Amino acid sequence: MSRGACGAWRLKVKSQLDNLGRVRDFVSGQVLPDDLPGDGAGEFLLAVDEAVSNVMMHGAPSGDADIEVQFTRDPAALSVFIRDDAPLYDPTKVEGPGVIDSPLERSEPGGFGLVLIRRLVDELSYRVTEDGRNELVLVKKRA
Amino acid sequence: MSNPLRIAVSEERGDVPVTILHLTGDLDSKTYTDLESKADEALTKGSSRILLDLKGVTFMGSAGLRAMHSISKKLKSGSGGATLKLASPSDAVSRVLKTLGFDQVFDVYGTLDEALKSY
Repeated sequence: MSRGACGAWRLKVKSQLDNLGRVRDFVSGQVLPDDLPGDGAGEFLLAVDEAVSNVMMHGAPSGDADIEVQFTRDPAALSVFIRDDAPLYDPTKVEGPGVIDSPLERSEPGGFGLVLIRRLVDELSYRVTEDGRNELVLVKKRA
Repeated sequence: MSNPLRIAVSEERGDVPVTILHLTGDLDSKTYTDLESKADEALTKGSSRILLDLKGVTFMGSAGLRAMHSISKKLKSGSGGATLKLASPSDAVSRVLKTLGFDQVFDVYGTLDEALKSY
């Protein structure tokens, strides 16, 4: 873990599911008790876990990609930037199940991760960085 | 702090036999297959009713829901046609269930005793 010049905190891990717990520990260690109201801290942690899990399971399942998780705090919101050098992929363009009518009748039980992310954060955006990496940004407003 | 997933298995011999899987730790994208495997072992041994004791789950992601979904479908397709029941969900479990509306889909009970009495 390192601290950047602008006060942002970063964690770099390989795209391996063994590192998921480290990512959660990193994020939960950055969120202060009064940062978010109600269950906001738990919701934000869950959303970040889902986003990083997607990269590890689908973006770079071979485990050789590098994932960088950057946490920033400002008076209005907490943000997590997830950058990886897996093949370019924009998850914000994926249409997930909107209304889940009969969840147990779905033949394929996966696909809920993106739904969770969209419901738990206030803003979700994607871009390709100048050095050609995926960057997904999750924003949770503080009030 | 993240916590490794542990699953203990017990059998309740009441009016009907129930296999209880007691989960503690993090149920995430790495560990959800452990839950599926434990449930598969129980089904292979002839269990037709499976109850998950979830009070010790410290983190759960959508992969945990994926495992529950899978177990539920296997139980329903079995000869007993049983439903998966969930007992004493922790905050981490409730967060996922409620956000996706699965608290209205699964049979969820506040305590293990309440769940066992429902059989």
